[in-house]
Amino acid sequence: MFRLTVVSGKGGTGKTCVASSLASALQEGTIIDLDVDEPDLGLVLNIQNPEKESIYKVIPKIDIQRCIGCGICADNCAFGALNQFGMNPPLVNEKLCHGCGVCEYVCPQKAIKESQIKIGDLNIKHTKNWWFIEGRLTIGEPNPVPVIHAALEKANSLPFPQIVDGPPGTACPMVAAVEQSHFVVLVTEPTPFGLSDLALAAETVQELRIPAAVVINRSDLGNKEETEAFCKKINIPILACLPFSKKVAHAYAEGIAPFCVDQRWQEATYTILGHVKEVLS
Amino acid sequence: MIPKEIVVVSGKGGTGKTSVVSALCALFSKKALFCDVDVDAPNLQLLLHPNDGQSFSFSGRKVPEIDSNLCNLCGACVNFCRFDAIKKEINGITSLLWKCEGCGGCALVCPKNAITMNSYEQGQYWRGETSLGPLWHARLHAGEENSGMLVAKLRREVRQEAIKNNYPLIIVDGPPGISCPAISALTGATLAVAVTEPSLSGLHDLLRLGDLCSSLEVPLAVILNKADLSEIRNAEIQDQIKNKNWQFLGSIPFRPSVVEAISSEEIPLDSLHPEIETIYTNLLQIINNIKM
Repeated sequence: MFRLTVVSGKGGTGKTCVASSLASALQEGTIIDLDVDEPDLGLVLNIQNPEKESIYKVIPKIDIQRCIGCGICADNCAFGALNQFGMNPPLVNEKLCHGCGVCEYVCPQKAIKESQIKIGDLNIKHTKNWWFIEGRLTIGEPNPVPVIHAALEKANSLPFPQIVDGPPGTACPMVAAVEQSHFVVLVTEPTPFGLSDLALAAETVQELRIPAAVVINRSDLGNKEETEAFCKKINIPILACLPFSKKVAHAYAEGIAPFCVDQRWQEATYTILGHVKEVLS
Repeated sequence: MIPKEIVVVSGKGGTGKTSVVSALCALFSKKALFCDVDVDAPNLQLLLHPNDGQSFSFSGRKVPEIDSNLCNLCGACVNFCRFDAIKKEINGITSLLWKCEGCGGCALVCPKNAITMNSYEQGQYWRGETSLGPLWHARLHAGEENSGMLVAKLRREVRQEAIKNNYPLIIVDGPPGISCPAISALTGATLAVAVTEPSLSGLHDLLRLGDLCSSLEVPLAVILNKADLSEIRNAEIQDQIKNKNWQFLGSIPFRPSVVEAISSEEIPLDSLHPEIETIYTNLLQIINNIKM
């Protein structure tokens, strides 16, 4: 059984359209939204009243009775999250803290203990067909990675197959989502923007040695041949080309998965699922 | 003179942020500096065609290098690492660089001093001349961390140039989302401009972006792109703009010719006419009213 992650590099190419269509086709398993900055999959799948679990990160708590203001913790913090002024106890910038534990380790006074702050929520719902999990980053919190890890840890105990709507871009959140997957679907559009971002996303996925395939969305707008040539060059198969459809765009604007309104999307969805099963068998 | 900095963001990706920014660059030609801080998926350079006269290397973090001659396989580093970035394997200790956050804890706890923390190139950034004026842009290498730091670095560079050469305005193409790179792009900006679309997810993402802007105390102005996608969602977004007291810059309907222009790597100025001129005029008025 597999975990399939849908990513795109460039935002707005149809990543959530593909993920919601895959979810609509599945009769069992778990559907996971790891675009924790802007989680939209639950809107399209019409998830109502999920159960909430808070996600915390570890931060240092300074015992001001014990602290002598030596500044060793601030000197050793790689993230600039501890700032020392004069002989006062250091100020903790919770947002910049990565929770690595170095400050606690280096403190000669044992004046630093672990504490926790909330950085997001897991929203969980058991529907008729599958489980749904959404990671949701608290607004103003800079680091989405711990929320992604918490959602994946939860998902490990839930049924497979699993479909993941990944974060955009190609930086650390995308890597965190993709590295625990068995297969990656890259959704692109045949514009220079789409191609440029597809190249970066494909490079990341190939570095992680995860099998991947491409879906070209709005394939009639732009220059499909260039995208096809690129995929051939890097040896990634193209599973579907979906032309622009006003019907799909309007339905999606109202929060309806393309699978539910367009036969081409249904065929593409089953092609993807068939391909993944074949590659992983 | 302190330059004003307009950061164009979107929350949701694919709403047309970079298309709109490129057209604004054309309208602000020679009157502003331009900067693309969407460092993990940069696209503005594809339309502005900078010559990239100056290039710079970016290294924001350090990662461990393990000297296998000194290592006695005690595993103290493995036990300390909270990111599962160091593993003990049959042939020694190895670090998984894509998991490492660069805290340096492994090097500190190693009793044999077998680990050193070294910086390396995580990305590049450039200053290039374009026919519209200078463009600063960057690219984080695939799968890298620290995008926020690279965003901050670019903003500092462009700001210094603006102060030095008396540019009154900086136009920034921002990253999607609301986390590290978006926070880094918006902190201290004069004005945030959100390019959104009338869809259920467009509205949801805009509200989260709006909350981020208000927590950072950056005023927000909104452009509604692909405005004819849904009448209901269009009305909902207009309501929210009023409720939240955001500025409204204008609407643009969906036009396939925008995609055609981008596909020929051209600024879609004609395709966004005449709405973009109205948006430009409204934006200019808002900028002029902001006191620094």
